[in-house]
Amino acid sequence: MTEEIQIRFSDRYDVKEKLRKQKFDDFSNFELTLLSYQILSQFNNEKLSILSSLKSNQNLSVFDHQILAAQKVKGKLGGNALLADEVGLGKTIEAGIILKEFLMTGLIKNALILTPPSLVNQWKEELLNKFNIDFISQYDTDRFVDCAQHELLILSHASAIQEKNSALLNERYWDMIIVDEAHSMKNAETHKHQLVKNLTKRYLLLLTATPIQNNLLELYNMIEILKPGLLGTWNEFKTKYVLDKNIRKINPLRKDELQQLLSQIIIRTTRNEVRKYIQFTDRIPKTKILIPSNIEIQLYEKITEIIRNMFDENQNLLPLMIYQRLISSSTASTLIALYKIKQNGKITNDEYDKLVSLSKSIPIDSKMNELLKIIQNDKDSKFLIFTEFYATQDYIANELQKKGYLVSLFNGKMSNEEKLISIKDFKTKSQFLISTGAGGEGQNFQFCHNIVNYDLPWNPMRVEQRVGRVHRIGQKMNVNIYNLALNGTIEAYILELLYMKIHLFTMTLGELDLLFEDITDENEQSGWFKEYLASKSSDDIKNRFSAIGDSWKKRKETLDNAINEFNLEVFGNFDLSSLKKNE
Amino acid sequence: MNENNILDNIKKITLDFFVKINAEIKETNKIYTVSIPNEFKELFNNSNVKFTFDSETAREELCELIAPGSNILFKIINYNLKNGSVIYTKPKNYFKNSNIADSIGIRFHFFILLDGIKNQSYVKYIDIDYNSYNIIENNFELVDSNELQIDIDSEKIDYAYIAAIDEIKKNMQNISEKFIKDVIMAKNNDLKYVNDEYQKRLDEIDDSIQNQRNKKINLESKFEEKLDDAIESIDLIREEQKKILLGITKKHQSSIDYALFAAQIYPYMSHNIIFS
Repeated sequence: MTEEIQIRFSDRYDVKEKLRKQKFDDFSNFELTLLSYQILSQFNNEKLSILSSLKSNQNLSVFDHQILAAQKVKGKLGGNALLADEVGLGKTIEAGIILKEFLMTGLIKNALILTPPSLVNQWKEELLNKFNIDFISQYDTDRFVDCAQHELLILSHASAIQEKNSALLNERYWDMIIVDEAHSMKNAETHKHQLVKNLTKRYLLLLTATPIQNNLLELYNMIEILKPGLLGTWNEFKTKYVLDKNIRKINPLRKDELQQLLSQIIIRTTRNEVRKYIQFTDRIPKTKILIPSNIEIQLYEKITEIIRNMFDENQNLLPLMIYQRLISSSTASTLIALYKIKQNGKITNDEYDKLVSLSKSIPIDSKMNELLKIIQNDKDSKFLIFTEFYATQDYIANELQKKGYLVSLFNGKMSNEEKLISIKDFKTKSQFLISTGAGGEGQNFQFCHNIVNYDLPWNPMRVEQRVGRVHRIGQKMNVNIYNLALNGTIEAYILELLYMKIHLFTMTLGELDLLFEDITDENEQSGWFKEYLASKSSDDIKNRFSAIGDSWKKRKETLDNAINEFNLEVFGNFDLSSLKKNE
Repeated sequence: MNENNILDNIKKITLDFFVKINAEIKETNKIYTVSIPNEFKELFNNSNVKFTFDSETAREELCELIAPGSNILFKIINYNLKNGSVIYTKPKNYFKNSNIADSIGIRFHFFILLDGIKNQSYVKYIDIDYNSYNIIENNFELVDSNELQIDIDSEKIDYAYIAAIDEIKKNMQNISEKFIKDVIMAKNNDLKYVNDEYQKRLDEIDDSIQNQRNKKINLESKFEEKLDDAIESIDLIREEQKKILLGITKKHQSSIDYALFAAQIYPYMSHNIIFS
């Protein structure tokens, strides 16, 4: 016996006492107990035990490199790894498989996931829908208590480092921690890095497609979190393995030695390696800036003027943003905005009635007309239509049903069972699924290759979340992304001067996260909304939005060069793939 | 157990469990629809369950495949794991009218969990003679019985259990020794990496101070300042090292549990039995 190993002879279920007191069971209970232990004992080995269950899961497509990665993490890497597959190869799925396997086989009882704020809900939904694992996130206001209470917890990086939360996280022993977009741990001086390094944990998974952005110190720092000391001191590492002063190039003479070290901790599969079984397709944005009818533009401008006045009166910005988004979405949602503004006492009953009757005089929205044209041109295809608002969802559904189309709905008000039925209907019968922004995260719709953004999320991350439902591993066609906006509305400016400038519709989540890592949703959106309301003319708006778009574009170009090429160059030296032949 | 056996056992445990709890089970085209009785509803998130044992069907229909990784199976197993079970049985070939049993055996069932970064577990049983505490080597197939009624002596149960524990430990000796060796090796490896790195970091600071000294810095106060910084760095490094070492120690904390989860009492005739 050693101090490292506790030896126990437990009798948790009082078998001896039952014997003494002659509390006898019946044979069928005994058989169930015996079988349970026998089955459980089969799970605890180095192989993945949940394979058949994964492969039959309709909500999940698993690929060889993901299974092999999970297998390698469970076996050779002992549950600690940097999962650094190139973008779009399903690192989240790999982590999900590992998590499920470890939970099911009793290797872990609790887990903490740290992710950028915009991905908290996506992680939660994906784990629930694809793996049937119910995590609690900081945003579950009715269930979340604090960081000490939950066995399966998702937090944003930013929340985790808040003093109260980090203290509670530090008091616990974590069986498994998963850090998504882990490049944000690259700097050893930051709170995030320190927190993850110091949390007591058995297993740790770091996920990123771009482990390095500026130099090799970042890679060193991440490996220091995973396996402290593996690479020696930074000075040692630099002297041995780094070639240049800018610490961006690997010493070719020591390449094999470093390969051996990195393969103990990193799995990185490339897109080239999986082309034999994954067909990568393109995203084709088709943005339609439509000429609104006179009544539409009149209505939009009148209500915008009211919103602008409220802004000048220093009203709370958040409801104003919602009104503006409602009037940009559809005539149906415009009625909701008008009702809310009236309730706010900002228009008289007379003005309200006039604006409502103006709205009702619009026979059909220009966007709806355009949508019908798009459908006409692609009669046999399925369409996933996104809107942010229930009123617009109902409006589109009614208009399509009037034309005889079969339509399914998906939204946050539906029960899980209703959602599943809706998805099945979309797969088998309906030509359209109309989903609100809240719905659809974590769902797979690869059988469809047309997305319509009937209105536009103001958070760039949410755009990708919509597109990501369809354009993901398993999609066999190029994906058409139709973006509808009326000329002169804020959506048109956002589309033309911000989103298209950085080719937002073709960017991956990882790229977006890097681009917007220092920007929280609220300050970014409210920033450009303020610019919009403060503008004196359409030229003024264009100038202001162009300036924002140009700064994004510049940053994106820098990132593209610095990150993608750098990662490609460094990791081109190593074979760290889960598909590596000799393993 | 091979893979087919596991799947057979999984099917058996699932269906037996639902029969046991008096659930209503309907099967149509390989899909089982089960109405869960009220007292078990909470276990299944307050809903009825729909499942299949056929992977093709699971891919086509909205129902869960019962296989390793299935949530329904996970719940059934966990429910039954908590049910420590003691029963009367008899050897399959025991014929009560021809002979009268002269001995009583107890079969102790153990779940041996070697719990570390990599887990292993085993299900084993040991048969002990109730009177002599000897190990019974015959591998009886035991079947359901309610024919035997004996007065149980508490003390004898304890002695029999101790004998069983001694035997199971012997039985597991090689596996447990290897497990312990692997745990210690992995832990020492991790500790060595950290100790080496931090020692070198301290050495690097020492070297740097030495260099400063050698350069014969004119300003004594400036050197003192650097020395203070160095001492502070050393303290921080030591503090950090301590934290990491503690983390590694906790990470590698491991255990071997010889958990008793069931027992069977049975009559047998000792005259043709070989005790070890």
